[in-house]
Amino acid sequence: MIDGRTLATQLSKLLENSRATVQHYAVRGSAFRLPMFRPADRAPGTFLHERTPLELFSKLDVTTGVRLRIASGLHGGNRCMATFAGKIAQDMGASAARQFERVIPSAAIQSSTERANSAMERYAQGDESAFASVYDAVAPRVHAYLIRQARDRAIADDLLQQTLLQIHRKRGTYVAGLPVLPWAFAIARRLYIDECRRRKTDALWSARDVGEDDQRAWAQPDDEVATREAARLVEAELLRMPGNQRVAFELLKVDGLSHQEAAEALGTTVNAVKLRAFRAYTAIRTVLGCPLAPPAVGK
Amino acid sequence: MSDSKPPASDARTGLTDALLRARVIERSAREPSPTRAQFSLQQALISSLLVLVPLLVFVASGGVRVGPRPERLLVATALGSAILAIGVAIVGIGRGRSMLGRPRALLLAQVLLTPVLLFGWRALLSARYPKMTLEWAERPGLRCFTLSILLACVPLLGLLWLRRGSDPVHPRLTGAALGAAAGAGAWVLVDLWCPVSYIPHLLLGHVLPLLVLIALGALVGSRVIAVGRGPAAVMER
Repeated sequence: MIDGRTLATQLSKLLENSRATVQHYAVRGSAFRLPMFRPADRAPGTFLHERTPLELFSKLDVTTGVRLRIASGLHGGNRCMATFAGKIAQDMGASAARQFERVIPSAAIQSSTERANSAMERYAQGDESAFASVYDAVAPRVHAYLIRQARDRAIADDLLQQTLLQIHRKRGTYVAGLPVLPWAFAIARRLYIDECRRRKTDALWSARDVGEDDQRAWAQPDDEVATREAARLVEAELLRMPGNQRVAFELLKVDGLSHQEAAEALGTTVNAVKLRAFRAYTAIRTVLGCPLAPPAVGK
Repeated sequence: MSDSKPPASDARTGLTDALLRARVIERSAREPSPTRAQFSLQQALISSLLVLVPLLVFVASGGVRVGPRPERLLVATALGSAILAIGVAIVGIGRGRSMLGRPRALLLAQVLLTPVLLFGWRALLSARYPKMTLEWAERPGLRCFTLSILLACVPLLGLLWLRRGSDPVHPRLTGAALGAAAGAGAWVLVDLWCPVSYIPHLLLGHVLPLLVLIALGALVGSRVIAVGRGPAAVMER
């Protein structure tokens, strides 16, 4: 169990340096221990009294789109669950985010899919600050995909910007509850294909050097020679195999989409995605000389 | 927010993540986009026009013309084609459960089956009544062809405009499906207007314009509905 006061201290440290204040919050349940908030009219580090009734939560204004959600579910040990929308990590850096995660190891951090969908819903309704949340939930994965495809960070940046702007322009068409990630990936893929045609080059066979950042987007963190060699073999095989198999493999295994999401992004059926991915697995296994069976495709 | 400045951008390696984020957010703030409520209102207004204009054209063309057809045949063909047209419209215009629209197979089925089902319904039903499928020498089908195109062009253009820049997966097929939906709506009105059920007349005056609208929807849809880079595509550096 996590002590509420300890938690509040940790959150206070995170918030006071971020200069971000919370615009709105959601509190579920009626009985809870307080984590730290930083209302605009209070000095940093101020504790609000434990068991403060809801009405004492004064208005909190947001400048940077941080959303602080406090969930109830506290028990005798004053355990509290909280989620941040990613802005704290953005402002404070990865170390602060890790500190936060250590304080609340069981914190209900929303998956990127859920964050994207909920942020998009707010944005579609007119909450202008929600676009930053949409960006934070969608951009990392789409950017990594584009870097792999384009093999050029500058092009990937441009395509990412265009992808997010397309989502911005079409926010009025967003239907509540529908997944955002397949939509974003499909747009990114279409823009990439159009960019290739426009530049009249095949970026996959580009001779440009791949920078360290690009390698990190693809290569395993383990820097051992064998791993690098395996990664090189996999990458070469992926470039050699048919494009539809490569894309299916990457969307499932690298970008982490589900079969359904990948099928939507590619405009095909789930069975077609599974078949393409299976063929890609088989080809990669052959190259690596791996005797293991391909992963189950029953997701 | 951290006081430290983001690292300088590198034209080769691109912008830093923080700078890219700030750039995208700032760019979106500069470019207004309709919220769902605004888009829904816009959609409702345009949809009203898409229904009203064909009805006005229909009335101006003479409206319902029974001719030698038994009234039962008229009602049956119109009702059946109306039901088919509604189904075609639901499939072609609706998005289903994905922001990327209906599955490709479903749209393809809608495009292929719409002319077959509408033609089959009219032809088979008319064949059950004596003399309904006889030749009308003075009615080859050109007037029906023209009327079909006139009735469907505004709805088709409106539907394409409403879906502009929205389909990154199969814009051509979506455009064709919208063409089928607009054509099916026109079919219902032409069905009420035209008493001729001679097969060659139906093919020329009723089916052919439907195929033309499907093709037109596909052609225009591949440009209008497809996701593009949008204005001011070049990223500032």
